[in-house]
Amino acid sequence: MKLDYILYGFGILFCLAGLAYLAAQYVRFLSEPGKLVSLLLTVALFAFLGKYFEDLGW
Amino acid sequence: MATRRRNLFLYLTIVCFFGLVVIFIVDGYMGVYETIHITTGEREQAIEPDFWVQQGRFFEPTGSASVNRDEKAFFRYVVDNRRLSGYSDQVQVSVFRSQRKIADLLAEPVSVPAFGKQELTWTVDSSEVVPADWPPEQNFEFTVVIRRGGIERKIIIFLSPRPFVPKPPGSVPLPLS
Repeated sequence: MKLDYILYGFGILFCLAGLAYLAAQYVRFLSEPGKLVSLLLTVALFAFLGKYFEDLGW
Repeated sequence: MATRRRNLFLYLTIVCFFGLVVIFIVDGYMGVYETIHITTGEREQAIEPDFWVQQGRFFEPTGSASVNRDEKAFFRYVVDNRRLSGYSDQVQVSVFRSQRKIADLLAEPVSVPAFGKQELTWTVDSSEVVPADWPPEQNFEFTVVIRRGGIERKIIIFLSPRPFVPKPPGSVPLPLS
């Protein structure tokens, strides 16, 4: 079970690192609607992730 | 029931994540981009595609470079096609001064395959742009206008004046007493 959590942690870290890389490289080329939708999706992503961990009992 | 609800949040998180990745790829990466490299003297500067977006928020974006008088400015124009289909258009380069065209430098078609690049090069000889009677101690500016399809890029070239060296005073005859 502990190993599962460690793997989840790594998965989440890699996902966030990938997003950070994309943001650093290409956010300057995004159009204004693209930036707005990205912001909304980021907020939703962290909100759903938070709810998921809340349900897990963290 | 609780597990299904929890999994739903996880799936929604994953959907948001992939949505972000898709937006970055489709909106941020894909498209036709251009980079302008200008070499004057011993320096090369590159005007990246985002320059026009960032500057365009506040005023009409204009690149700039400076060149010594009677020297040349070397341009390298790279069209980067990051699309699934090919891209072809006409590129025209002209020199303007006070809204008046002085010379046409280039008129060439570009045809770039999908995810390919094409380079165009040209040279601006400042001695051919400056009028012959223009005082060498005075500044001079002109604009290189690059047109590709409906897009227009302006680059102002500033010509440094030659330093003014006063002539040494001639010998003054001494008054005879």
